[in-house]
Amino acid sequence: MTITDQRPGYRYVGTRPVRHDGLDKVVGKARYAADLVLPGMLYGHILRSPHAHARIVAIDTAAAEAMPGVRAVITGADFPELPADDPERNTTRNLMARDKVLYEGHAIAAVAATSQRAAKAAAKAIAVTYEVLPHTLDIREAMAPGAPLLHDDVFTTGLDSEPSEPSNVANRTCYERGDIEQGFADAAVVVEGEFVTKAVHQGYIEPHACVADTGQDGKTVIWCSSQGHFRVRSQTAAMLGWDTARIKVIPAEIGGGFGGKTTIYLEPLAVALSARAGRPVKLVMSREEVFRATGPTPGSVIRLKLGAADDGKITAAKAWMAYESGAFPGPWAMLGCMCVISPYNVENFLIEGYEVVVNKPVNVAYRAPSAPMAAFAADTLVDEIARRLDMDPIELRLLNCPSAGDQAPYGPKWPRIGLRECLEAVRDSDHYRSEPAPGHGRGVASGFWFNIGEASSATVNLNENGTATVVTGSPDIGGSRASMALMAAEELGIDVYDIQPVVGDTEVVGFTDVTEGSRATFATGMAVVEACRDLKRQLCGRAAVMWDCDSDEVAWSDGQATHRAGEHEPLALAAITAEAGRTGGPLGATASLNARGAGPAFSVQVTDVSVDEETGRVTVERYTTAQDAGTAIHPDYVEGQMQGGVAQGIGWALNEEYIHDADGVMENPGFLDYRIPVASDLPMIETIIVEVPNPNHPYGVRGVGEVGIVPPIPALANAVYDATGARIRELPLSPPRVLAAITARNGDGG
Amino acid sequence: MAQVHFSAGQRRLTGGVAHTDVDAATVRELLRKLEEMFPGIRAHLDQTASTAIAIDGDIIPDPLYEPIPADAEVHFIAPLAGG
Repeated sequence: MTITDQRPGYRYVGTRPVRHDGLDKVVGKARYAADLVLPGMLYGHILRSPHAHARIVAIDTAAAEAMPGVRAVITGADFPELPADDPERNTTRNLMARDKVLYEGHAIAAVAATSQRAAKAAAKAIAVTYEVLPHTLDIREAMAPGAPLLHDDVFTTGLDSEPSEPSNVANRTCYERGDIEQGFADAAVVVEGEFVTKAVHQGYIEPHACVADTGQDGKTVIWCSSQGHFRVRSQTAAMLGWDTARIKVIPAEIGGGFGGKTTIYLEPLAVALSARAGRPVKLVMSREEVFRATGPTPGSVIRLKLGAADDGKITAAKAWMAYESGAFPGPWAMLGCMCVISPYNVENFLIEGYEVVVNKPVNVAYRAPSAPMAAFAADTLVDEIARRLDMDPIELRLLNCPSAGDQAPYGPKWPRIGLRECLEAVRDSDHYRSEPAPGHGRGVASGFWFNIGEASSATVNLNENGTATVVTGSPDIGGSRASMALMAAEELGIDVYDIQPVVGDTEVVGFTDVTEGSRATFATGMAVVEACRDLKRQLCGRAAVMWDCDSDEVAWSDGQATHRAGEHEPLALAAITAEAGRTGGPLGATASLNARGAGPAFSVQVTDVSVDEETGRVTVERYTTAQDAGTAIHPDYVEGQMQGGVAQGIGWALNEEYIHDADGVMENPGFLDYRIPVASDLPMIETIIVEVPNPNHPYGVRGVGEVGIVPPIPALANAVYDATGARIRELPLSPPRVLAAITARNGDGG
Repeated sequence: MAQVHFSAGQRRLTGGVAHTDVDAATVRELLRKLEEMFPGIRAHLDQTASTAIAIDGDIIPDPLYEPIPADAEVHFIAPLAGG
């Protein structure tokens, strides 16, 4: 179902053609990085730390280098140390440990050999002498005085006075407005609680993989899976100390990223091994390596207090928010602070955030990073306020809903946003208007994510038969080929299947930022539209040549050139391209831009659950999600993004967590023990696309990839409370935890 | 004159000033003038890794040369990341 604010009569935008890359993926012809085999190719293997925290006393690679089939061995000593103020310094130290290992799975050395087995055996033969150090995995423990210190050069920033001692707390951030004491004094209801979430992984199906082929000319070609091959190029160059001109990155198909492939792990290692061996080198992670060595999203501890007047208006908010960042500092607490009360207009608030390093893999973005944990706290307490005041939870949210011109908690005024429309869409849905089945509990929650713009490029070439090729630099991680083709079809007025969308490598298309922040269809789409509009001006000029008139006399309309005075019959695009050689040469256009005006995204969701009171198992019985897409260019893929976000949010809420033993070793690095939801765990996720167009995009696009994962955690926690009367503030809502909460509710102690 | 707003965390750099009016045509000029008003602030605000700018609500990640319209509302905010 789609609810549209206003929409012009588009011919292609908003339709649902079969995606151009669909058949190859269905029949198994799509080429992923791990599929690539080159002549003479070697196989790499990475030696990883068995310790959560240890000093590297010595590494002896002699035995490994002498083993049969081994062609190259590298360690951290083979990479330049970047200056302390280099933004990629921590990336390089994460890819290959230097003086210390900071988490179990931290890379120490890598081997290239003629077979996978030989590489693995050689890696095992590398002798590493460690001085094992105390480790810390828990936020509260890491923040406490006397905690094991990860870095002696990390001093807390954002404090009122400069600290004199290093700390695991990398940063303090703060947002404040109004008079918080008066705000709570004005409240008729005050609710508060501490909320705890665990590190969870993005869970993409395709492990990280790459092949690097370094030539005698000192240049290298990398085939890899990533969310941004231009970032792969720049980060690889930084780690190797190379000029980017020596590196070409060819994007392979990507089997899921969700933020986890916005950074690199393998590529510089493969290049270094290839350069040393003089042969191509392939590196492919196992699932276990993906869990142990790539970035999960942060665990968090959030203490939140909300006050509301007796009419439901929220009068004050106070938040203390600590986020893990893994082995090196990150921006996660800052983002959480900016999101936590954004779906609400609150005049008085104090929000503090703390960024905490712990001995876990470096945290990486995961769909709307940091927002789901914040929403868990905020929307649980909003549910409690609604219950205390006996108000409908959606009416309470509508009462506190921001709109254009209101000031967001993080500073700027909101542009046109669609939160109210999403709330109304859920309120008016069949799901919400029907009563939950007997014994089922219902939960509601809302969520916010910024969306971002950044740099994108596109080249559109017209072929002599009137078809077009659209080349962009955005890897297709969510159906962007189809959305680019649809926007180009709309602009040029030719059939969407007459357009071939292509993801170009770093040498055939202009610089394009990584696909993150739900930006591809918004920003790269904007570049495609700009290039097409340039082409339409060129087509009018060519028609003028053919008609021997001034180009001002020609207009482009519905896929053809028309003479404004009607002195000539319209010329279809194919008729003009067929004559292109005679009228000035091939027709093509390129646009590169820094996209501005990304439209904030909101989602509102409702779910019904049942809870087995004997086992604590939660079953999601029904789920409906409404999300403001701005404009749905290809509704199938908008709905897919909405459903995917909800599915991952359900897994995060109900089952997923990193589990470590006493030594800091991950105990569940596989999909048997780290349980992501499968189809049989989920109901049909009903979608309501809300379209409140973003005025800053030619087709009103906001971006849809992330915000859908924000509301599921509080929606499910609220539903579990509704079903059981047990309020649970720690994830996951797994059977043991739910059963314990039910037992505690019963007061039977057992 | 641009209205420049500082978050609570940034106010330690401004002696507690929450907002001020600055006559600046670009972000570069704004940073220079803010440094004159609040010595030491530019080192914090001029790092793209730690600060983005919102001009009339539009968040700009790397804004040094960005023009500032007359009477614009400017906020220094954390840089955004995404998944």
